[in-house]
Amino acid sequence: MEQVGQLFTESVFQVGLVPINGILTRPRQPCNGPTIVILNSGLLHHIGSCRLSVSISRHLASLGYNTIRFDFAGIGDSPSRADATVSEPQKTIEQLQEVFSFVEKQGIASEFLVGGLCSAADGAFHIGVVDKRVIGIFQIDPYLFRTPEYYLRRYFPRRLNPAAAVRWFWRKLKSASSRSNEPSFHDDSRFKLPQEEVSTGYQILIDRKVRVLVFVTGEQSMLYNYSRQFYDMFRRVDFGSFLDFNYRKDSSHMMLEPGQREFISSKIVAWVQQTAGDHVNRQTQPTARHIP
Amino acid sequence: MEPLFFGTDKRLYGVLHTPPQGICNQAVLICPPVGQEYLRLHRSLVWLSGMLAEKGIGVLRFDYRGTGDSAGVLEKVVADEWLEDGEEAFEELHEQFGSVPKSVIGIRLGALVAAHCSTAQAVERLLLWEACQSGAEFLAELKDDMLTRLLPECNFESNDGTIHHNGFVYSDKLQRSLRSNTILQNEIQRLKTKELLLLDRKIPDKPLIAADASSLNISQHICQVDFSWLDVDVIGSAIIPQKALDNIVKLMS
Repeated sequence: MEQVGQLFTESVFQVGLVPINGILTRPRQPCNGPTIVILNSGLLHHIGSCRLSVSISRHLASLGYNTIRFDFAGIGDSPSRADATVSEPQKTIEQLQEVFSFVEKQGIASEFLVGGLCSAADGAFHIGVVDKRVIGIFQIDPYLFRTPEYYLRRYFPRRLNPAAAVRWFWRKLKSASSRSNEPSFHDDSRFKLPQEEVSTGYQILIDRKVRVLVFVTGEQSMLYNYSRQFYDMFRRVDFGSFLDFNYRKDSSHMMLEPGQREFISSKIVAWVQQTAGDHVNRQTQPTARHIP
Repeated sequence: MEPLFFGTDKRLYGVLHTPPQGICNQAVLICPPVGQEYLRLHRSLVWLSGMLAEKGIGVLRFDYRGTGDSAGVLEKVVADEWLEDGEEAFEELHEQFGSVPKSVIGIRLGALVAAHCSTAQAVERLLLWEACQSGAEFLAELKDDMLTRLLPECNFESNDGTIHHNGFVYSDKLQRSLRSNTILQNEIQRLKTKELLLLDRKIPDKPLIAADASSLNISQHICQVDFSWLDVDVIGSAIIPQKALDNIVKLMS
């Protein structure tokens, strides 16, 4: 069952007895680089917000990278599994490792770049921390924590400026009155992790030279309101050159704006190329010889 | 749930839901809506397919070209290609489930594809859930919505006539081809179905039941559910209109 494009082919794959279902996009030319794994976010199925996971997968495959997009059990096109006793991060890790093993057994790759939006960003973080096969993670709206400066920026100007205080109050009033009665279902079970644990996790990643690409969108303003807040959140972590951070103040969380979508997807593609290239270079560099 | 690529060059993505008992007494093709409506309804369509399969009905749901996992990009497709996709999906349904009676469900813009399927093949039942009666009606809804929504960066019409609505792009070419689709307004007599079931939340202002459709067995069903197809919230919450899903299962079985 294979869909054939000019530069890539796509096939469905199933992993496990209660299968995880997904799509493997492969370049026409054989590829030795890492496989890029795009995770599904919350309840959105594997095509991603505004079909972004599909377009990124195909773009990367046309540049020579194997990519995978799939649904975690119970989401989208993957049936539920009876593993209610296992914690959310553990489920994510186990299912991702099943997918990794499948890719390895197929002889496709043994290294991975993993990422996605929101809970997918969390999933990429969790697997990256525990699995050495992960050489890079990309995160859109990952775990965020308020800092002292966040509070200063959020509340201090209003106290000083009566007009701003009135505007703020008016906005609150308006948003409260325009709430929809629509019966909908959203994933508010995004697993919360203490800041200290996230900080330790990033340090583990950086110590292992795992590349990290982060986007924070403006819609996270309840948690995040200035560009370098990410660095303040994790002061203890020396990200060095391993972090590529991008604050997209004008982007919605769902990336509904065409310009923002274009920026984020282009950046991910360029980051994948750079990360995969650097990794190959590191592996092929001759070991320095000690001359007595 | 069995995902597959099918059709010409395997360009269409679909998912089969086979009855767990193994006995399939009927088969249904689901023609989904498009854009943000499809993204938000996807979870419901998975549930609906599972519920139908439990009743012994085999289901194929699929993505049109330029949508979901099917080939192509939305910017480059035209509505006629979606009609072809509907035909190919119906053929696949036949291939997968054999000679059992077949029905088609069309949702919103998907109603036009479903109706087209039932002009080429005789179908047992054609169920249209909140059907857009024409491509022009769908586009008018998008444009109305753009005027009321306070997100000009996401919802606008560019100089070349392309409509950007909630993260999805409807090119001028696609719009023109959609406008020419009036099957449910002017050609309803072409439908080859034993039963046409219309599911809406209220009696439509312009009912489909036209004088020239008297030969069709049409029934209108009302199911009051409170949600908006065109909305999209901060985190892309799913639409789960359980009452409507239950109604569809009842009508189809």
